[in-house]
This record gives sequence, structure tokens and C-alpha cells, in this order.
Amino acid sequence: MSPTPADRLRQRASALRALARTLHGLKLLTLSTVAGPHTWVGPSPQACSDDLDARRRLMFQAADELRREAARFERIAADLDARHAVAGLG
Amino acid sequence: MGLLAYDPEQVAVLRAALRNALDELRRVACADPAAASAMHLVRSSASQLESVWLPLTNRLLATDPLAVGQRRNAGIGSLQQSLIKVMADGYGWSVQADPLGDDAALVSAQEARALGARLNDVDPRSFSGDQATQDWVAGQLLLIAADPNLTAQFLANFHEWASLSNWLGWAHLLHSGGDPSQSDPAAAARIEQVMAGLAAIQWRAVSAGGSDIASAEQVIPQLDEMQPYAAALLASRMPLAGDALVAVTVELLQRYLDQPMTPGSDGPWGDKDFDTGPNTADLLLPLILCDQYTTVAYVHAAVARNPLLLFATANDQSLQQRAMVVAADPRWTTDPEAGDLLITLLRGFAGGADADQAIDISAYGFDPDWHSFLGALLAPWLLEFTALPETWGLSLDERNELLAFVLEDDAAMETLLARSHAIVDGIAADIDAHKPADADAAAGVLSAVLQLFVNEATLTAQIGKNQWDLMWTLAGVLLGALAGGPASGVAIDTATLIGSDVAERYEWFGAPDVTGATLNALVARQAVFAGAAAAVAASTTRQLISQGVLPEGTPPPPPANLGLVNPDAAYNTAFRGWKLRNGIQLGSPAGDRLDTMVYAFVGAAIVAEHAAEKGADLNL
Repeated sequence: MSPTPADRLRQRASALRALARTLHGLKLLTLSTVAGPHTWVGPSPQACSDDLDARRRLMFQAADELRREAARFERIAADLDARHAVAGLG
Repeated sequence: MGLLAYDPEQVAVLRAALRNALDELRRVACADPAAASAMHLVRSSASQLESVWLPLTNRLLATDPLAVGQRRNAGIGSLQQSLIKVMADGYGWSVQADPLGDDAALVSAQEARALGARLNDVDPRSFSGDQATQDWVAGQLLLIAADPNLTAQFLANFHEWASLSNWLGWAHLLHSGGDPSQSDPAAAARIEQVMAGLAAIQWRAVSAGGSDIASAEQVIPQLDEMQPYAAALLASRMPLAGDALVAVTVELLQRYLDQPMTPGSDGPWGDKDFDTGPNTADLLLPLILCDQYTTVAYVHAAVARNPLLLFATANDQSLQQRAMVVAADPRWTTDPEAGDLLITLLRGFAGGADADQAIDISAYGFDPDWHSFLGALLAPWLLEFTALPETWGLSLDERNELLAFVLEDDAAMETLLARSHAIVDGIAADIDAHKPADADAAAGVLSAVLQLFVNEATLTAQIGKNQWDLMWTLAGVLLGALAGGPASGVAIDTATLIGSDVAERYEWFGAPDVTGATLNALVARQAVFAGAAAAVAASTTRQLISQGVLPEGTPPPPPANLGLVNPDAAYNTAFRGWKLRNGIQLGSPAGDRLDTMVYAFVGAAIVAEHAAEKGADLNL
């Protein structure tokens, strides 16, 4: 049996949540702990530290956005399931 | 191009972490269109690590660090490279060139700490002459002061407040007139910016404590080691006001007096070591003078601590004089406060019976022409020094002595003339305070002041035009004040009868000469009293007519004839004749009123005394 549109949406939501989890656990996010003033100082080290901090924030934002999108897909899938059930009863 | 310092072992750790992070990013995959934005961020991050940060760590680890000489050539000794130098010298880190330059608009906690540490051991002499570095440091200090954490980081390491401030103060002095050949207002302003940065940092720390400021020690670090001028430069950049500003100012001025001359020729020199240029007081008094009540508080605090603070601390003595004039101004002070100030100062200048009270301003090399200043102090309080019975616990004799001491100088006379409005205001204030201001009091003032002039003329055997002018002016203003007084209600046209045309009367008296000086003074006094009596008679008559006490058409009283031998006695006679001709009886309402007013000036006893004095002098 081929997947229904609701099933496909749930699969996409699952993939987005998996990516969000991956982003949340990236080693990139902890790089700033070894790229700080205990390792090096100067204009470039400062720029590196600032860049890594900024990417950390952006990664968290991207993960949050992925989770929101996944939740939206799941709500749509639930609506589709409900309509389908109503149509079957009719 | 800047410098960067690094711990090679830690950079190796960083490089490994970057590689692992890059490998991980490369493995991230998601084809869902809804993940496009996130995947773009993943790819751009991988690209940044791969193309920028990994190559940088590779270069650092593959390249030999700069040798000591190379570091020096690259400017590691400059304050701008404070953090690099601290990490290299203090922690043994390696140093290499950095492709990026420093962003002066950003200060990290490490940079704040490093700058604090470096300012401790910077060569203050070279720093005080390095304008570019001063600009940079001033900017960094203000950025640090704007952030409590950065301030704490800086203060954790910086402790050489006195040394740095003394050298900066010395340079400021040189550029501000201490050495005319090095006068450079722009350079002085640059140093002030550095001091402003230091002051802002210190003020943040002080204000965080929350306690009231009652002493200089609370705001000036290392006060005992800091020269007063440097401390003043620092304090003047803090938002001190009111009692706190007064307390700090008085303390620093006393330290100025107490400071020894700087030994040797290496510096840094303090303001007392310079013959020219501003002093501690020149930095602080403009702040004091911004507010009248602060000014009054300052003067009284200085008098209580040491009156010399008011005379021996400023290069521009007019600042101190302005402060004292404000402190003696009835608008900003009370009678007892003004009395304390005036008595202390006048006794100090006059030397007095107690030599301990004397103020020897000449010992400090300042312009001894202080008579005019004392005249300005005195102007609003002339009544207190002449006619009022109880003033500040002084006997009339001492008041007269002190007044005569001030007025012995033509410059003081000129000042009194210029400040005749202050005299009027002072007398008006006394009238408002219901002090005696009737005809007898006004006559008493005239008598006391004019007697001083007569005495002075006798003593010095010369009378200047200014004294003559002042005599007439005083007569005018005193009678003008009388006109506004509640006791008389008399409108006196003094401008017409007395106060105006001073020059003409001066011509009438003739040029002062030595032998005739005393006589001229006595004649002048009689003339002033005759003129005053005529003015009072005229205005009182007008008032009595308007009140219906005298009939309409009553002829005006006679004018004073100032050209007679005894003009006051002549007016007494003329006035009596006028009353007789017009039926104004002794004991009648009009007669009583007129007699009270007019005989206060030309009563029989007064004119007889004046004539007798003159006769005695003529017999000399």
C-alpha cells in the first residue's frame, strides 16, 4: 500500500526533527571553548571566536525552525487523517 | 596588520577540533526542501572552517614564531599590543603576524586586563609625549569605563595611579603654560582625555560603593603619592558636585600648600615647581564657580580649614576673588556667614591685634593689589560697617578701622563706585530686614563714611577724584535707599539734587592739593549734608502737600547753596527762614515732620560740630 499524503508529511517531519537533533549536537557548537583566549589572542583569534559564536547561535535558531516546521507538518497530517475518517464514515 | 599570540599546544588542539567539526559537518545531509536554509548554514560553516580557520591554525603551527627582535619591530611594545605582550612575556606564548588589524571600537575582558597591566609599567615620560597612543588609550579607557565587567578587569590589574597621573599632569602643565615654549592646547586636551578615561573608570568603581563622598581619599587613588595637580586633573573629570566637590577641592588645595618642591630635574614636576601655568586651584575652581551655593560652601570650608587656601593656591587669583565675592553676596549667604567671612578676611589683611590672624599674601608672590577686591566684598555691607549698632560682634571702632583699611586705596574706591548698585542692594536688603533706615540712620551712614574720608584725607594729605566722586555717589544711593524705606515714605529726587553732575561739583571744589586736602574734605562733607537736607526738605514738602497737611501753593524749600563757607549751617538758617515765611509752626504736624527729616542732616548740633572741626583744622 502506497503512503498517504499524511504519511508523507509525517516522514518529512521526522526527517526535519532528526536534522534538528543533528544540528543541536554538532561539534561546531563547542568549538568556541577551545578557540577562546586560553588558546590564542589577537584580531584573527577574536574574529574566529566571534564567528564560531555567531554560527552557534544560527545553528540553534535553524534547529528551532526545523522543529517548528516539523510540528506544522504533523498538524496538517492530523487534519488530513481526520478528514479521511469523516469521509469514510459518510 | 596586527599581531597574534598563541599557545602552540592549544592551537594544535583547536586544529584537531576544527577538523573533527568539519568532518561532521560534511556528513550532515537532508534533502527535504524545508531544510534548505539549515543545510545552507551547515555548508557555509563547513566552508568557513575549511577555507579560513583551519588554514590559519595550519599556518601558525607550520610557521616559526616571531623572534624577539621581530616582535619588537612589529611594535609589540606599544600599548595597542598590550594583550599580545602580556601573553608573550607573561605566559611564554608564541607570536606571529596577524592578517587582521585590531578593532579599536571593541575591548575584550582580556584586553582590559592587559591594558591595566601594561599601564602599570609603561614608560610614563614617553607615553606623556606620545599623542597617537594617548588618543588610542583614551578611547579604550572610555570603552572600559562604560562596562562594569571591563572596569573590574582593568582595575584588577592597574594600580600605578599616582605614577601615571603625575607624569600626565606634568605634561599637561608644560603644555598649558608651565613652559611657554611648549605651550600646546591640543596636546593638553589630549592628556585631559586620557585623564577623563581614568577618571570615568575610577568614578564607576567609587559610585558602585554607594557611600557619600566626604574626602579626597574616597575618589583619588594613591592620594598621598599623587601630586595635587594630577589629582585635581583627575577629580575635575569626575562628576563631582556640591559638598563632595567642596570637600575634595579643599583637601587638594591644602595638599598643594603642603607639597614640597620636587627635587632634581627629572620630573615629574608639580604645579608648585612652575612659575607660570595653572595650579591645582585653577583646575578645580571653575567647577566650584558653576554653582553659587557650592561656591559659598567652598569659601566657608576654606576659611574654616585655612584662609590661605583662598589666596595662595591659584595662578589666576581672580577665580578665588570671584568665589569670595559670591560668598559675600547677600543673595547667596546669610548675615552671620558673611560676617564670619568678612571679619576673617579683613582682620587677616589688616594684620589686626592678633598677628596669628594676619594673611601674608605677599609671601606667595601674588599681585598684592587686593584693595579693590576687598572693596567689592565690602560693598553690599557698607551699612553694617557704618551705621548699624550691632554688627557681627564688632565694636564701631573696629568696624571703622577695618573700613578705613580697605578704603585707603583709590582702587578700592573705584571698586565701590563701580559697585554702587551692590551698595544700594545691600542697604535695601537691610531696610527689608527692618534694620534702622530712617533719616537718622541715613545721616549716620553719611557721617561715618564721610568722616573716614576726612580722616583719610588728613592722614594722606591727598584726595583723589575717585574719593570725591564716591562721596557724592554714596550720598545719592543712601538717600535713594531712604526713599524706599518704610520709615520715611519720602520720594527723593537725588539724581537732580545730589547724585548727578558729580564732575561739576568736583570742579567746584577744585583740584585737590596737599595743604588744602583736609579743609576740602570737611567742606565737602558739609556740602553733602546740606545737599541731602535740601533733597529731604523738598521731597517731604511735596509729600505733605499731596497729603493735604500743607496747602497747595506752598513754595518749595530753598535749595542748598554749596558755595557758602559753611553750607550745612547756611541751609539750617535758610530752612528755618522758609518755615517762618510760610507759617509752618514748631510742633505742628508739618513742622515736626520736616524738622525730623531735615535736622537729621543739618541739625544745630551737627552743623556746629562740622564748623568746629573745620575751625580747628584752620587753626593748624
